[in-house]
Amino acid sequence: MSDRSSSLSPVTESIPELTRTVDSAEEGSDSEGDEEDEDEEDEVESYEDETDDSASSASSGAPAATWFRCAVLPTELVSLILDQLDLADVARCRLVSRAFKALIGVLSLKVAVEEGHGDGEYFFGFLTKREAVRLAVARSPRWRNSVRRLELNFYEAGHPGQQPGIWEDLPLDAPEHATDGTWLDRSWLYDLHESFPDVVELVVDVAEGAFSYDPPDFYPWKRLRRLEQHAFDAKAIVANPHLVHLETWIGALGLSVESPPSLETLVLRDPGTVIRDPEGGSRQVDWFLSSSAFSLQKLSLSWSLAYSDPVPDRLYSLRELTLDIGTTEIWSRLSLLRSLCSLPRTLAAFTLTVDPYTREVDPEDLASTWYYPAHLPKRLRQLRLPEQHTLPTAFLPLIEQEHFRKLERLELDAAWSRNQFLGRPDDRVQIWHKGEMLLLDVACGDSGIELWTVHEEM
Amino acid sequence: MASASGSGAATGGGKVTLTTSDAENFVVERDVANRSVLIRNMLEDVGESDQPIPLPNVSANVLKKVLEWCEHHKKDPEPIAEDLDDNRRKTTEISDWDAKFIQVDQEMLFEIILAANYLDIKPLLDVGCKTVANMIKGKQPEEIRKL
Repeated sequence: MSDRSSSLSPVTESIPELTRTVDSAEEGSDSEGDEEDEDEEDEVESYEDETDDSASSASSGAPAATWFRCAVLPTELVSLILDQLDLADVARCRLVSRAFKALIGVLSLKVAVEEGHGDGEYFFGFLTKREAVRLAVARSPRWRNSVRRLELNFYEAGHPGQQPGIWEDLPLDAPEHATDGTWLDRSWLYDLHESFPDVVELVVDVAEGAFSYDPPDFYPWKRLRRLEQHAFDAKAIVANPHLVHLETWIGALGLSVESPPSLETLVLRDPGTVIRDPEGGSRQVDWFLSSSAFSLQKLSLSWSLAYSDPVPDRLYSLRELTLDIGTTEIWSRLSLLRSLCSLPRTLAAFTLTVDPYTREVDPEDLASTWYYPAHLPKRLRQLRLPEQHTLPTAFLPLIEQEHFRKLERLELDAAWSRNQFLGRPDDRVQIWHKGEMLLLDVACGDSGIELWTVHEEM
Repeated sequence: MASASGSGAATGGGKVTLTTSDAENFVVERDVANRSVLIRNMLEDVGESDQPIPLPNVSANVLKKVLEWCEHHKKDPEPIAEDLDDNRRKTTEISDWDAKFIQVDQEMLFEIILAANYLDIKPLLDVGCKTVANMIKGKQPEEIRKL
């Protein structure tokens, strides 16, 4: 397995900028991609002589470099080697030589469309998406077996987040619309899969959260390692309450989605609008993630409309968890805090953020409802917590518990001023570390984040 | 284990003879040779025959190494294609024995990969590809060039 165990970097880390954008405005142009190619050619051109030298040295019997030997392997064997590498490694290989670059092709393809609202026949704009996908596929036949990362950005001019009220006249109270074969048409997605079957990273940003309506085999790429899915802003639903009817349809149709079994990284923005059902989202999330229970290592959830118990505890490989509970109602937040008790035991890094403008939390209430954790993850080494006023001092005893004995890094937002922190005048707090009671020292950084590092000595 | 023979003799008693590109013969047990899907198919095609099997794309020194691997793994269960594919994509871990086995110079490493591909020995091909991938992993382009 690729070794990611030593990395505690945020799950939002991105792949190198090897992207190619195809958008509706590009339709008449075939030259942009070639120009990009030329730019990248420049990067490797200076090594062209090296390639030639290696070729001649190989033909003369002198030892050839590994990369050169790789580059002269049959294409299918190069693919086998590259399959073992992270996308970032493959991207670097692409810069090694022109031969490698030609073999690897385009790694990352971005399909971005800003659609017009149209005449109402396809207010989700699926037909336009299909056209965009066909355009992308038609432009890229030679990339077929090289695209590993696919980014889909479909924005609609009629997106409720952009033009509130424009949806008002749409026939959202007619469930039969969901079964007429138009709205559920995902042929464009399967076109993409057929054209780019080796995608391992998928970023989906569809303005209307359309993936809610897909059948369980929605993800045709069964080898996805990373999935990042953005629904539209949950605030749009709040502003357009009739959209809630859509979720009722989902429940009525019994539609759901499941995560790919090989998934290692999952980023869900506002998953409540994507995979919740009318009776509550937590079971749905649990179910969604269960198919990746043994593979998922990094999970990031943005939880603007969270339900109770949002953290599945049956993720056996989870190492990094980021929760943004946003504007969650206080009762949900309390439930979330309770759910910390059952965080996966494999967890090594945990980041919790909340909406700083939601300050209705009563510290006394929270303290009275706090459940002291019995099974905190004992491998936790990195913890980042939000502002003090949203997670009041009731949380502090948690930090001092033995459960955090391996904690090596604690980051607290600026509101955790040293004077507020348990009122300790010495800017230090006791903490268990590697079986011994140690002191945490406060360090104020320029970024406004106070970093707490563990002293190795008392 | 295989025994090299210069006579090109035929097989007997559950053994087969493999002839390399440099005309060296190796007499090996059938279950060892069967690790190669290519050889297994050939044997099935020719039936009971004493004719040596030509392997024009593999030299003697490489075949010797490949047969060493086949001998060690001759009792391994036959990998299911799907499992093998999954495993190949998910892990770059190599067993201790395989890791030691594959500690060869680069020329031999790539010869083994090519031979495993030609002979259709997927688990050995997997070991070879993983080894190369591990050499590349985490390195910058300049470092890769210096490998």
